[in-house]
Amino acid sequence: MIEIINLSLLAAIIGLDVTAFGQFMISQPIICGPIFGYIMGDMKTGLWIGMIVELLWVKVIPMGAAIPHNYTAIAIFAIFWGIRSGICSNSVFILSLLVAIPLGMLFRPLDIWMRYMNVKVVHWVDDNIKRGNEDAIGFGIGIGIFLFFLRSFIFYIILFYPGLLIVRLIYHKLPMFAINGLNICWWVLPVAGFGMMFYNFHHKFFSIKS
Amino acid sequence: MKNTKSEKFIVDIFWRSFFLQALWNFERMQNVGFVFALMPLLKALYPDREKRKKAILRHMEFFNTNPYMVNIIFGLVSSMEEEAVERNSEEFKDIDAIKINTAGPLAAIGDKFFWATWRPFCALVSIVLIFVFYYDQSFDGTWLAPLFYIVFYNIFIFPFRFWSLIVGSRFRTRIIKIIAGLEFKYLTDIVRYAGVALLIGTVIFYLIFFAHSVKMLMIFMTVFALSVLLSTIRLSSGMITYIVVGLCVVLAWFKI
Repeated sequence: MIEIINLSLLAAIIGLDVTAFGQFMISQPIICGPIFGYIMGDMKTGLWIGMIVELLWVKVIPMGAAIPHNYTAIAIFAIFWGIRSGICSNSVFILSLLVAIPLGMLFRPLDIWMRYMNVKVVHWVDDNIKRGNEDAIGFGIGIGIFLFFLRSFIFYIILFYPGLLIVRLIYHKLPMFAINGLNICWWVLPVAGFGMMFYNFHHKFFSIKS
Repeated sequence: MKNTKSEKFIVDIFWRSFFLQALWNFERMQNVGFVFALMPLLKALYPDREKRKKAILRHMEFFNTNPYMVNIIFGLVSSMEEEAVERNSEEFKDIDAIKINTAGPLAAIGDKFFWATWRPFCALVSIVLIFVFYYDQSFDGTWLAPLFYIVFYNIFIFPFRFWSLIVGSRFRTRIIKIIAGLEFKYLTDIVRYAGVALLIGTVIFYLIFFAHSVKMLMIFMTVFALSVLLSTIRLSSGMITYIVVGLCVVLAWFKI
């Protein structure tokens, strides 16, 4: 349990980089993947999974007011479940990735809801400024950071353990051919990522309008 | 070009600009972050609390741009606020207009260059490093790839964020010409073509060293083509992942 709390704290702090603070790219899967892998004792796998997620989600960008899916969470969940499943096979990491994808998507409505909550904080800041309390601006920023942190922390701490059970349960029910297929994916998914990166760099030649 | 009083606050605004999106909201987006960064300057320019309150409320309106490009607007707005105080002007429409009108185009440039081009390029370079190390059987992880990514990505962006604040403050509206002169479009194209060249090299390297049989080579090439094809019809990354995994499981079922 302590490990889950610690990892949730770390994941929530790293998650601040996505929107709330800096955008130094610490939250990119290729960075946080090896960090989580190292902490959990398998940096090599963390690096590989981080790389796969980085490649596959390369075309997802936080453009304008759009709220993208949280691919940082996808990488972190996949690495945690894969390593802590206790199963020594690449296939379990791919299965973890497949389970993590819908959860990364689940993060989005939570993110959107929280940004609506931020509107209330902005109104509170507005009211305080009108009353002459300028300190509310700094407090508002603090509350915003805290809410971003809290949202991620709760999300990770709730889902780390149930997700692990789901991965173990599904894995033990998988037929041999499916495990073989997942093992092949370990080497094939980076190639799918190359395709997406190729599209990302060259999309103007593919898209009809631009 | 002249040194302005607002330049004294450049370092303060620079550090505070990292909090631009801390209270991102669906009503006025980055408004509180914008005011938060400008506060040291507003306190110095408007010692009178009532005047300062009006200035703060002016900047609490809707604002949204790319976080890497925002310092240009901070520079511009700082120097224009300072000028308005020097002229004892009560007219702030120009400041509001330039703030809103530059935010959109700068966001478009920033999104296209930093998010859609520079980030994938840096990721690709560090992925090449991973492959080079991963091929060695005794490899058990390297910090080189993530460190390279973070340094390589920020080595350009960090100075740009600081420089754009200074230039925005000194050159005011002429900054638009300077930004146009930077030829972001060509820069984007150069990085994009370099990215494609590096990607082709990486794919060839991967095919040679990671495809251990002709069958595997065929699967790799099919998946690459499929992934590009599915991207063109704008299928989500998650969906493409499921399709590719499904394909691999089917192939395993047929013992291919």
